[in-house]
Amino acid sequence: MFFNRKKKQNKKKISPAPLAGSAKSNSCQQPGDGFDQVINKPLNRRSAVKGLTAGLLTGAGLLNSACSLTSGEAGKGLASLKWEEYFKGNYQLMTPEEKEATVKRLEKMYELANGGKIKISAKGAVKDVLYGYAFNISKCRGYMDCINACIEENNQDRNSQMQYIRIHEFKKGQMNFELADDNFYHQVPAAGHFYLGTQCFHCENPPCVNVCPVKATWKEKDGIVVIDYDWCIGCRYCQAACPYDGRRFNWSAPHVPENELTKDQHYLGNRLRKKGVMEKCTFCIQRSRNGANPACVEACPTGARIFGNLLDPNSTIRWVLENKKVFRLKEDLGTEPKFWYFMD
Amino acid sequence: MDKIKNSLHHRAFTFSGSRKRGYPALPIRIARGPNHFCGWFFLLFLASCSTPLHKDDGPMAKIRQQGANTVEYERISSDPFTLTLEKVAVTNAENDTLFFIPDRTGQLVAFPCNKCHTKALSRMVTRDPLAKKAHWDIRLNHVTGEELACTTCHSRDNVEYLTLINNKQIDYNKSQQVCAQCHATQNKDWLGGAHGKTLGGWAPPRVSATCVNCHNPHTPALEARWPARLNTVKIQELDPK
Repeated sequence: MFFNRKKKQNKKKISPAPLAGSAKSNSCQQPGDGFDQVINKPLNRRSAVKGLTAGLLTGAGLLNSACSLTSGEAGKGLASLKWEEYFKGNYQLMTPEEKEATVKRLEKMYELANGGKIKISAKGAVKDVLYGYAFNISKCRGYMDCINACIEENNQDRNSQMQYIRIHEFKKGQMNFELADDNFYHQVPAAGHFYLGTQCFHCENPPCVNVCPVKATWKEKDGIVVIDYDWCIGCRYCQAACPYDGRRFNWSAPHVPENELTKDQHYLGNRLRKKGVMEKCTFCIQRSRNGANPACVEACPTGARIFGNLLDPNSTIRWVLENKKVFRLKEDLGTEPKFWYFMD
Repeated sequence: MDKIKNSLHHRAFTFSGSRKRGYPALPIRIARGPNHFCGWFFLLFLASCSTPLHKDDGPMAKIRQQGANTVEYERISSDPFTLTLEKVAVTNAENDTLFFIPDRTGQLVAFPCNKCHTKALSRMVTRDPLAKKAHWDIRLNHVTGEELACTTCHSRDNVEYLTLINNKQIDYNKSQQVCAQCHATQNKDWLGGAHGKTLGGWAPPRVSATCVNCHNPHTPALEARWPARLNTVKIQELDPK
């Protein structure tokens, strides 16, 4: 009985056509509910072998066209690309060739689905680089240009209002986050207030990485904490583990108008995410690994945001760390964020 | 004796709350269980202390490891992002490094000034309040208003130059020297990289905005304005659809 059932399921999955025919011929003999009609259906040897062969043939054909290296990318349909994407491994375990292959597939899949062309990179960390960030709380004036730039650069969904950066407004004289106003609605800067932005701090000891049950998030060699969106199961353990509210859950697949889409993408960065995965600031990995500043740094009209290589003694970030009084949030946790705050 | 010892032990570890209702103490046999556990927990606690909570593997440790070695960047530079920019070199005397600022004279609409002005600034001064002003649209709102005049920054003798307080003529491309006379701390921060904006990218060569790229020298304060966007929650409150 068990053998029969297994065969029937196989047949149903791979080739619906012969099953439909046989089910129809049997349905008049055997009334019952759907389970009886499909699963518990009596099966003679001839029809079983027939169905199984047909199913195997179609399945093998699909597999062959999907996995064949000889058939060109153009010949593959969206479905077969999806098939290959589905069975790819964790990004950390991929060889450089596999990384290139998945990136090519993703580009092709976007082209087939939306018509436009995008460029996804799988560029690795630059040697001798450890990214660091400094935020001048005397300079930030709460203009929020950084958030707009971040949303545009990182292809975030325009409807769900998810933002990687938060700007908090504090009354001068204290820095209690519970008393901060995150919903300020007036001209800025308000008298007697200062502004402080938070985002992912890219900790050297990231607690979010330790709790991930599927190793979908990790710290890269250049210190950027990244997420493999295709490996993430959306359990949100990392969001709970982050002491800085740095991670965001993607409640809806990003819908970005074609003309607003950032076409230069990175596998670990701003490519279009799936629904139900974690995402966060990646220091704009698609930009920073090419030597550019993150979008927030570029957009800031006050120069409150400073970004650079911590290992370069001549970098501006090192000058800030060595010459200004810097502090980090919740330093006692030992998370070692690479995001410092300072005052003039 | 053993009984007394145990009860003393018990007293040291439990709160007095259980005795308030008139019970002499918890029966010793029951009390013994928790005490044993306390001991075990204490041992566990000690064991956990032997592994350091904070390993020295933060960014600072990596910086220390790197030492003063300069980094050689392979195939990475900020040049591609500043290709369209005319640049002028600036030396930071503090650590003897070089960086770039955007060229200023190319950005000025009416430069060189001798397109319109033939006389030196000192000879253009008029006491007639109704006389036409060449730069009628420029409003000087720097400091409180009484301290500065046109000739505080613009050379009296040559319209093509700025001036320092010792009458030394300064090129428009080195205008930061004029600002630095009063704003010495800002200048120090700017040379180091804590004040102002980096243009292009983080990778060398460093290209930074100069003072006048962000501050209008005649009205240098950044103005208050509405934020570029509103916070998520605020949008929902204003437009609850």
